[in-house]
Amino acid sequence: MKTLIYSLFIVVCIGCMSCEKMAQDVTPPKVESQLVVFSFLSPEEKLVKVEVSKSKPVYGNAGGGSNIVSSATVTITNDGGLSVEVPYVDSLSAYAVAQSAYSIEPGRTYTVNVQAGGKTASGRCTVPQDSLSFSAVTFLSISQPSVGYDGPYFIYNYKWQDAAGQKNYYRVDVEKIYTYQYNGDTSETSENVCNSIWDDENKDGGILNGKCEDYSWQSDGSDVRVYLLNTDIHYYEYHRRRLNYYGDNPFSEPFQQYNNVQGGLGVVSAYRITSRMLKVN
Amino acid sequence: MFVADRGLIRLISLLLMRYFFLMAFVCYYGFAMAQQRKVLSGFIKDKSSKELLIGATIAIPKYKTGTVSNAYGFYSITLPADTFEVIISYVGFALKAYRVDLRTDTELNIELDESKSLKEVVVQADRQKMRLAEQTRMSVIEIPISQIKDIPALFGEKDVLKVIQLLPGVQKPSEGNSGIYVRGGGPDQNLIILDEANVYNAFHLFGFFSLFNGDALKSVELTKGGFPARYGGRLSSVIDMSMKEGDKQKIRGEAGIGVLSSRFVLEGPIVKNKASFLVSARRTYFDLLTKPFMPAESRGGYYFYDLNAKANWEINNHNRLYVSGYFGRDKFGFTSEYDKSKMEGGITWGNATGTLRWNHLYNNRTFSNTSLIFSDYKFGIYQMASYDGSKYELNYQSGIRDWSLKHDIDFHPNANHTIKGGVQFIYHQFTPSAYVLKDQFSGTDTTSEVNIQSMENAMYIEDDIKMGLKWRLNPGLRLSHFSAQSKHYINLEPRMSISYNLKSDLAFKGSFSLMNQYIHLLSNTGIGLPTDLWVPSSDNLKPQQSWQVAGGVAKDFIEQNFSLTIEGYYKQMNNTISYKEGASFLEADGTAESTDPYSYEKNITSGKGWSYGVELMLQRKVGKLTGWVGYTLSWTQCQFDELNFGEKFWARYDRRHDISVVGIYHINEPKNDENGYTLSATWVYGTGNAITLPIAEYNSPVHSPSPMSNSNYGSTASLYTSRNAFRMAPYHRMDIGFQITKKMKYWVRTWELSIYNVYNRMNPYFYYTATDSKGNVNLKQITLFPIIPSISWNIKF
Repeated sequence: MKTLIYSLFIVVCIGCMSCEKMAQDVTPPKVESQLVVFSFLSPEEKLVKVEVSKSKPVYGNAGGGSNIVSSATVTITNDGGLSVEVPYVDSLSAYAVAQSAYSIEPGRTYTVNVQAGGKTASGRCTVPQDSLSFSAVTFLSISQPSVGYDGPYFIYNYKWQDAAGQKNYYRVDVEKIYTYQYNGDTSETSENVCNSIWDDENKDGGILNGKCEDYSWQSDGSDVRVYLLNTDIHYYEYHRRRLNYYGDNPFSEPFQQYNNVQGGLGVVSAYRITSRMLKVN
Repeated sequence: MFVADRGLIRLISLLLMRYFFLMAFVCYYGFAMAQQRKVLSGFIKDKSSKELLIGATIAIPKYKTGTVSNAYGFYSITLPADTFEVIISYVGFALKAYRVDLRTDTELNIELDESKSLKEVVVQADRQKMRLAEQTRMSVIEIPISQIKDIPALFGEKDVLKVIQLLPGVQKPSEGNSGIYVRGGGPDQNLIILDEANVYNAFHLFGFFSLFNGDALKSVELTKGGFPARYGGRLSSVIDMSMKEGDKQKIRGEAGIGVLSSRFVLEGPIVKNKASFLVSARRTYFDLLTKPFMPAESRGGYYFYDLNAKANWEINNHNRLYVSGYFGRDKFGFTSEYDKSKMEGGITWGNATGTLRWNHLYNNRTFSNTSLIFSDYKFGIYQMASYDGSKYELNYQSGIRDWSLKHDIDFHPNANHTIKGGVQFIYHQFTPSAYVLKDQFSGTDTTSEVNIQSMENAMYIEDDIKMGLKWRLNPGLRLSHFSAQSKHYINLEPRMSISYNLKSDLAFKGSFSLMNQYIHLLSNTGIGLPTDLWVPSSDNLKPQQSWQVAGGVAKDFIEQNFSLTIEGYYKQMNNTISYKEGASFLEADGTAESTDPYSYEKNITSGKGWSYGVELMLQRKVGKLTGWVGYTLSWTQCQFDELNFGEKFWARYDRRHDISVVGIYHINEPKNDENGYTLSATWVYGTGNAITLPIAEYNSPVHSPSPMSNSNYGSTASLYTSRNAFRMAPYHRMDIGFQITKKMKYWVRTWELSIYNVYNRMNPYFYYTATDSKGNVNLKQITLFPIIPSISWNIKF
């Protein structure tokens, strides 16, 4: 509805004899391309993965093409001194190694180091010790229509116990899994219904609970998987911002993403994960 | 830092309380001993219209003392029982002198003459009045309405708030916008009062015009610091405007036709010398001008209008009644019709205020005013669609409504004290969202209204003290209270202004004030959009608080008709609010989905602000050439834990240098019945706004915890300069105006030609990026107003 206001404002601004031209009396800020490193490490994942790309300066001509850097030297070293060079895997567009070759262990600190084009970037994280599980996950089916939505919908309620005596960060995701027929075969696909980021401020050692309202169609008979991630602070800070970022919008405040990579951009972080499956009917 | 300040504030408050208790005793004792002193009191009026004059000076040279008339033209001064000369003066009016034999309490009602035949006496009166060195208060600027009418304006639309933007210490947000930022404060931190009623959204057309019609105004005063205790509820400034009362002698009027709007004012007696009225109206005609060019099946339009009305009745010399009101609306609407479908919609917003006042003289030393005040701001969206008999209808509203009761007393115990005290109760009703949705397609029929009620109360006392010939003090104390959700916020607000006259034309001044603000404006950049939402303090959202110290010097150059003020200030603001990074103001009011009345709180964060600087103003209020030169050197910084990674940053409207030059030259003075020519010009310069620019883009994926997803999702994110680290180009512009006034048979006619942005400076309104044909990404700018000539025709009868 507020598109009306947006439109009117734009009409008024642009229509009022406005002129557009190159910015005068100012020089746009010049920056160099930087290495961008993203890695979310977890003992529960099959792969140890690092994504490396380069940033593109906004002003000037940065050229087209992919930002992905496939020729970097990527090493991961833990606080015990054990190190591995991670190879680039084309199919993943990322550097990856199997946990069987190099394992991510709870409580350990890992440093990801990337060298490419004469530049070096590195990030460090510590894997949370605890892997927490939901104490309960339930769902409610609501048949009453809601505003702007006339069909039934579902509410998933979940709760878990915080680990006492330490600062904890969490992420909860709800994923709906559909089956479909294609060329006579049955396949599965998934849709992320909700995600949320938590910390245990003022609730140390207590019960945390939340809910997810699901208005997506075809809910009956679906499988729903609810994930609980116990994360480090870097994972939390990055996603707290990133999940609320919908691109540049002249009517919202600019949004700086979280960064813990020295010499570049991006995030090196770690998490533990558990999940619970529900059958919705 | 602020913990230590609180101790100091408590100490100051305690000292002030002791002072006022002591004063109560002294006054009581003083009455008992006042047998040899008598009271001279009365009202001061314009002789021709019987309009009461605010701030007229009453001087008693023999005793080197005097007083000024209050906001209702009343004065009172206690003097020795003696015979002496009394001189009364007011800007633009002839000075008047009386010989008074004050053997008994005497009522002296005075009528001042605007007559041209007394020009020399007028100049003397003006010189008397313009002496800033003799006023206790600092950081106060009074703008003569006549100057507002002479200063050239965008599209020729005279605008009080745009003239205020030309004063030192006041910054404007952007090109053409009427919003004001005073000494580093936000747009919500200005208390804008029209006949004692708060005006919540003072803008038309997204801030390009303010809603105050200069024709209906009698006085405008801006206070930037050293706030007297009678003002409260906002941190940074008070803009106090009074509407004219209406001529009690004869029918008068003014009318004008401009490029964008037309307006008229009519005033006159209801009962001659006893009661009068004033009505004024203004309407734009964008919609009417554009209508013929739109296709019949799809039309849109925009207009705004203002209505002001006031009536007053002088029941007797001790009782007066006033009723006044403002009503204004902006409306943007569209309709389209094709075959079986019809759609219409639009947005409306506007203010309504009403004030009922009763002036009562308890005795010749004690004046009181009781006001019942109503203020309402509404914003609404409506949309209706129908297709083949089925209908969809949406009405959405947000707003704020106040009912307020106020009682103020002016007490004049003797020539050295003027004590003001009062109480105020405001009942606020906030409506963050209310909607009705009827949809026959889906069978939806929903109504929802979210209201929040709160009370804001205050009591205050202040004393304007003369201590000998050199010292003047204005101590004050305000106790404010706000109830919100389960919390009651109670705060003591000490105020103090001090003036020391080294010579009669040279004074050093200082002030301290502590302010609390219990209601907040959710606005993204303060550009005055109607979606800006007023919300109350709550359990989680604390009141904003500021303290400010200022010091300066005021020097009058009497012979040259100049006054010079130089002031330095330091202000700290706590619990100021801002949107969180990424929060979109278009969704901030929760709209229809939200049922939690405090849902907006999730989008906002609170922090601190600091502002300090030096302001210089050289002003000439009388003579053929009037105007001012203002210069401000200032710094304004903010710090929010949740913004800019907790680092301090420059406020968007931090402006290192701000210069304004305003000149009005009456080639021959066009007084009421004369032909005349007036030439005027303004030049402004300001450091560019501090903004955040994107500098790079990079892959920024969201981690996907699902084993079914092979990769993380999400695309690119922008890397920005740190918050507000980039400066827009400096803003500068010159406007000129020329008025030709001629006496016609039935009226006095004025043609006004003005040119906005004479040298066609391309000031940036905002920047954006664009890619050219070679693949280069460039920073481009949008300029709203290049050179714009305009013409208007005005008559006065």
